[in-house]
Amino acid sequence: MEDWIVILVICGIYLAVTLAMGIIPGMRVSDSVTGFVAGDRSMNLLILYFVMGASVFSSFAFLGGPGWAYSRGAAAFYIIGYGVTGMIPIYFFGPKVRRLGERFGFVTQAEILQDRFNSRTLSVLLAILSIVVFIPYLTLQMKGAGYVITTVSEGAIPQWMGAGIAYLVVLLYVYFSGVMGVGWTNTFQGLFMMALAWFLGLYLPYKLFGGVGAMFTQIAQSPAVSEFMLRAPGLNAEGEPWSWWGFSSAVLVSATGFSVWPHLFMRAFAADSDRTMKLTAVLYPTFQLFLVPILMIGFAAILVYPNVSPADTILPYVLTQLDLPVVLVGLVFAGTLAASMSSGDAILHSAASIGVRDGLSLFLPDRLKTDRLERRYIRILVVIISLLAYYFAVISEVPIVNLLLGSYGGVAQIFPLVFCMFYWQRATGYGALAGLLGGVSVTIFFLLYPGLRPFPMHEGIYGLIVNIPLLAGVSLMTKPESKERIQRYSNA
Amino acid sequence: MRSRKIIFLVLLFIIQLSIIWPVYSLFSGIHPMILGFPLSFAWIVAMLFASFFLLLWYYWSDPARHQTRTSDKAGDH
Repeated sequence: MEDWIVILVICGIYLAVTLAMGIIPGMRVSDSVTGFVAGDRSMNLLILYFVMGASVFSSFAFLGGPGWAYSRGAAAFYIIGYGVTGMIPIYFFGPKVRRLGERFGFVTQAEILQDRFNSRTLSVLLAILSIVVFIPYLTLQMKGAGYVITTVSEGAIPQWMGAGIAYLVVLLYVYFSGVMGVGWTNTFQGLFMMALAWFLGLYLPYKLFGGVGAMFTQIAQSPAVSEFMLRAPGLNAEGEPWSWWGFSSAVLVSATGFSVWPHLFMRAFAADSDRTMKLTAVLYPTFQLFLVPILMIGFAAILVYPNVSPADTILPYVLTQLDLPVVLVGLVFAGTLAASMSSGDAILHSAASIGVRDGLSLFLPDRLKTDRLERRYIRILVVIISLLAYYFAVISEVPIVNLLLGSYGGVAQIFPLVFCMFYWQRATGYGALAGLLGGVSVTIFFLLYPGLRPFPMHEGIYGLIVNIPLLAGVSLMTKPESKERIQRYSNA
Repeated sequence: MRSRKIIFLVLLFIIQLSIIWPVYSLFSGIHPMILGFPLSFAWIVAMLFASFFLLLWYYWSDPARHQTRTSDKAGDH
């Protein structure tokens, strides 16, 4: 049998196992919106740990991570850096969010913020922001999956078909099982990715250089390699030394936005207890640690395979150059698919849930808003969003990467609202609206016109500089929210 | 604010500064290599461990955890 057929069969088995693991758990949750969106608030530590971890690690981590280390060297440490503190806020607000969700029936981020700030406009705004950010994110995951399958099949399966097959599997289990499908598949995919990443990250330096230390010593001594490949903050996208402004602000913005990404935040509603929620935040760095071998894959290729372009293809490139057992290559490709799908499913599920609960439902009359109907709308939206992302992934030529790059800056603007929800009683709905609108507008402005930034900092920082004073100033100028409402949150 | 929380916040602030300018710039070089890793890489991984142990300590030392472990009302207010 030809090698690529063996690899394809392994990917096929992986897809079949994923589908089974995704569909079966959905049969156990209730036939309700809470069942579909928050898994009846029954996720235990094991599942929640993997949902949070595997949702973060997308095909960007598996393809982009090694690509960054390969082309920008130490700049890639930024990806580890923002996870160092990024998940810590979840430890504090996660349990509060969970308890309030249980008491008042919230299942999305916008629902709880809407209630605290007493503003439906805020809910719609957050729904739009989430979906605008999610569609390019999902599109990139689909592209990643299509790319993997095309590479594996040596072109026999075109990209549109590869992306179509992988995401049909995702669509099916998200459609039938909702968040529990996401949960169980992410546990399987997460374990699979971790095992492969550690194996490859340690094996490649050993095979190519005789060890990790030897590898870094040779990179450091090589006259052909800039010393900034190993000296923080590494290189920028143009290949020149990156500034500390750029590195530090990128770490800060990403860390700020990390815990309030709507698809991660809303998993607090799925946790079965406060202990689960807290321990998920405590244990998160053990998942983040798996970026270490991922980056080593990229470093291993610097001296041995120079000038591979684009840098994101370095992992598949290395795999095809080395004389590895075909089963192993198949497993790695399946692992890359897992990375793409474990983020894609969470995003798809969240985008549809948010679109219905925080957008559509606000405009429907009560008789069209029963629990059963809402669940049906979410499922329909799951299909529509899949098709839309698929259109952007394989048909449209719109450059979406830029949109995604800007998304961290936009998402970070939600953080001040979440913080004030619990820790600043005087924050009002108008303040929240003004802060969010101002912050997002400024972020988009500097994303579009980077030349106008006074310092070379991430545009999200400028957004926050405008966001926080607006939130505080407008809040102080407007009437406080009712005592009873505020107390629910400060005593949560 | 309890001293436990103050210690936590101060250490968290130090860790945060250690992964950006200015503190990271002091540990951003290649040498000395630590366990085969350049200093810049080893430092950021060390900070990941530091934040892990910090939050783990904070969780373990939470007085509410011992009082109401089963009732699930434990939490920081």
